[in-house]
Amino acid sequence: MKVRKWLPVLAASFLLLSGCSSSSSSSSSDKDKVEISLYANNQGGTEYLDYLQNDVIKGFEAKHPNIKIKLVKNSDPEGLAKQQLAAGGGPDVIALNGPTSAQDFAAANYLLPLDEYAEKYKWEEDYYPWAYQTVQNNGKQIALPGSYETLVVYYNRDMFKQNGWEVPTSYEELEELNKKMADKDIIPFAFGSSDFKAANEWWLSVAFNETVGADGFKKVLTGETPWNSPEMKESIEKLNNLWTKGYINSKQSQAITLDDATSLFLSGKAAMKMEGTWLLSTFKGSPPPFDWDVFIMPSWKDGVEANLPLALGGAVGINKNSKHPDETAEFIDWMHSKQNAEKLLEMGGFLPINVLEAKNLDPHVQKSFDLLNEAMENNQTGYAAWTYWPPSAETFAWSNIESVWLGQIDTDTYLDKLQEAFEEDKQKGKLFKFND
Amino acid sequence: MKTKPIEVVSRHFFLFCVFLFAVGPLFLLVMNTFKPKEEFLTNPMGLPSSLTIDNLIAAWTEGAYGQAFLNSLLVGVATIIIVCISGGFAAYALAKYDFKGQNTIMAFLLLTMSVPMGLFLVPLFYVWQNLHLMDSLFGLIIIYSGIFLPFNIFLLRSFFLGIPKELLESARVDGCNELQVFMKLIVPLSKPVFLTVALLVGLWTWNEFFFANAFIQSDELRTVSTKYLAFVGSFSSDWSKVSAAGLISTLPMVVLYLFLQRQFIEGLTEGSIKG
Amino acid sequence: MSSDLVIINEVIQIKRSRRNWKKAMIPWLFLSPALFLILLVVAGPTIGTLILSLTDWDGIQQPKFIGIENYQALLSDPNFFAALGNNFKWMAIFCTVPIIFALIIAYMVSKVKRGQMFYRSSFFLPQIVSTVVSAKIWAWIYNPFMGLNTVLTKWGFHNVPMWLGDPAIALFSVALVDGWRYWGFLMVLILTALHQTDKSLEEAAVVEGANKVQIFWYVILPQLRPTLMLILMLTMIWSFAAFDYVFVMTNGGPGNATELISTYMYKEALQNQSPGYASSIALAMAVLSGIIIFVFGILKKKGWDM
Repeated sequence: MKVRKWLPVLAASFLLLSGCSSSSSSSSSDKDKVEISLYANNQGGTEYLDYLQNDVIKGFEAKHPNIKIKLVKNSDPEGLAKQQLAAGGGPDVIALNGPTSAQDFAAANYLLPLDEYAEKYKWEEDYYPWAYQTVQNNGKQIALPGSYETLVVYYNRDMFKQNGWEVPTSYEELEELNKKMADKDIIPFAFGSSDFKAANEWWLSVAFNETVGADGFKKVLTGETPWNSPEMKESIEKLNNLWTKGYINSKQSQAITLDDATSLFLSGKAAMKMEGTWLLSTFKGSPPPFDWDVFIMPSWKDGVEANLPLALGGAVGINKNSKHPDETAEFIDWMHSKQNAEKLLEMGGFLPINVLEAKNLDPHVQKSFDLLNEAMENNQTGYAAWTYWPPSAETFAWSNIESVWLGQIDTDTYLDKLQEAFEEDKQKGKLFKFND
Repeated sequence: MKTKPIEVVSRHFFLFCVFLFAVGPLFLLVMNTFKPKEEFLTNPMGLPSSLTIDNLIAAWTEGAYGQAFLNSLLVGVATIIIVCISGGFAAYALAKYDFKGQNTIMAFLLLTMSVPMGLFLVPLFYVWQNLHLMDSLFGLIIIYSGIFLPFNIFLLRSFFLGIPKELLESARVDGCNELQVFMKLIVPLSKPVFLTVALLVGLWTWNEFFFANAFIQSDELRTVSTKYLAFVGSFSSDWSKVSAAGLISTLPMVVLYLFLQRQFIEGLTEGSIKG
Repeated sequence: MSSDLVIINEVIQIKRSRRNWKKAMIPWLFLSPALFLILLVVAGPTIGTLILSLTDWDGIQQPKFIGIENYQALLSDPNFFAALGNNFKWMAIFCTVPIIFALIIAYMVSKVKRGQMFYRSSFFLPQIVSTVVSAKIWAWIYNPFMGLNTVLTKWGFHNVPMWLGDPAIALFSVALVDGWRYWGFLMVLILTALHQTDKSLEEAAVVEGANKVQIFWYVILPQLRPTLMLILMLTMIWSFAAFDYVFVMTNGGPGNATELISTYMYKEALQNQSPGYASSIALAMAVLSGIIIFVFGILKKKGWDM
């Protein structure tokens, strides 16, 4: 505590010297004015940030002139909030990466239970139960679910037409199609991960769900069947096959960034891109200069039904230390209000609330939205890594798959270690809790 | 020893190739900044067919570089002042006094100088959080001062060692107290080394991104190098704009370097020899 | 002895000791602001790291004391040893390639009559450019679909190297970028030393009929020994802490081909939610660079730089 005593003196003298002001202590002359802080990812594309600033924040401030929303953009908002929470600070609104983080944060007692507000704003009536339940802990509501998303294949329809290519319906057809593309010096799948290695888990999500099937994979996630079973091995081998043949970004996926890969697709050097529905908003901002469409990745094995790996791309909670929980609750309710959710929907962000009306949507967004809703109705959704896989297993999976592709470790070792990581998660009680 | 003309020419030719290697990548940056955006995609490595300043203007306004320049300037100047004053004091004590524990202090400084920066990152987070210095330029200035001090104390000390002790004694006899000796004698004699320290600290704070990235979150408080990082994050597919932003971030230091080459070069090299 | 004298003596002694005490305080007063800042920013948190490395802290839950478990885990962590191996490769590259290159170029520059300043300043220029910007420029040059390789294929080269994509060469590609920034600095150091060499020795060697290689090897090189030794030490210490270019350009990939201890530690601390374990990595790194400094310290005492 010696430091504390010293600091003001030192600070004052340095302030005099340098004439600078520490901006963290923003003086609020108006005592009734309430400030709520919110962190957002600055790499989520300018379209989304504009929406957040202009629609959500300005709209809210217009309705509540006494409340000011302070938006802080950062490349890792959750990590930042975590560090600050551990030291007793943090923003009022806690933006989380998904239900798994929400559970972690709740276990550390960082989140304010929302049950009182849930009743007040009647949230239970608004949200899809499957999504709403993922952010409950010991019977308490700890957060609100964010957008749900899935992985689809974006393809250059002009190019497909010119070459007489068809959307593949099986792994064999997919492989054959890729070969035709590669023979024409076209990269089948654009994919880059040098700036975001976790992107590798998109491919892993697809491989496991499409080879083992959604139900089969769920058994792996609950621990009923192991990660190193022959079926799981087949998934990795099939993925490995695509990568080593150069179908996934000519074996250069670790050498370029996510956005460079998108540029390859946009410039017609690549025919397809497998990515999440969030890419829809990027394409809305800078539309491809050709006719394009999306399809569902076909099943990778006979007898397995194709499915869409489902994920909740975020969750939002309230800081337990927040000085203004009521206002913050009002704000998060507004964030997910019908009005804002529909604007978000236009950009390809699907909030799991049941009052959404899809009107005059961009045809691509409409199609993806329909595909996903249809899959959900027919129980044809799988389990994407960043929502359903436990943390150690997830991190191990995406950070080591490149070594498998590059032949540095073999599939068996990879899966054995993945199983070990999963056991570790299981011991710590971090497996996803499925509500049946 | 006579040198044949052919030898002179071939030597210059070889050195010119090395020159291309050293400066070529920077030339590429300049070229891509002024190349029209459409041309970038078709011809990323070649010479531009026409020049434009659109990219530069777009990067300056969209990146809000004006604010970032002010922040970097403020952080740089404040760090320079703190390092010069507290570092000057410390170096003076180490160079001109004999006292118990001197060697311990020297060893301590040497150790802190060679500590890898990642070593203390995590605990520093929590200290800063508790002192409410997160996301504030003042907090960043203190961090920079603490990190750059050991090296600069060595640099200043080695210069002060060269000032004759008799000079100080005669000043003391004239009735100067210790602080006055430092201010009236040492400081005026040591202007060149203080300039070197200022340049080095200025260069480092301008280019530093690791701590700036970890400790500053608000967009309006970002320094130039982290502004560039954030800019790359949100526009990374737009290489023209990213080039322009890179040029904007680099230019001030390059200009300063062109004017004060000798001080920069000597400062950096002598600093590491004596430090 | 009268009592007065005793009292006076005592007073003098007290005064003197007070003055001595005051005098002894002066250097510490001068030192205190700097020491305070260094303690606050560097030394204090470093001790914090030492303590953290003995816990299982995951960044969220209360840390639990687990003794040396992290260090035991470290010794059986293949990723750590892969990173350590890369660090040694990195060090081996930097202790040879840029130093030899800088030596040759500095020698050539020293023989040039016109334009010496020009070469010196332009070779030093990359040192001024910030890491993030130069890393991005080189990432473009290395980009397999847009960069240098497109030009090379156009010129008819096939089998162009996959700079950052091939695990066998990725580390060298990144080292080339860091070396590109670094060698100019070494060149200036060596050039300065070359200017201070004894010219009469060279002339005498010419008279004796030595050729150029012999002169360089037997006359000039020995005179550069102190500078080269110093460079070697600086390079070893700095290369051990290398972080920036790997962090910005490859993030350790492909696979873990470019993972260094520093980047591995950063990932463990901030991505893998194990700051406790990361602290033990950081400490292992500090110990290793401490050993290097120690060894050079001994060598210096034994007079290697004479």
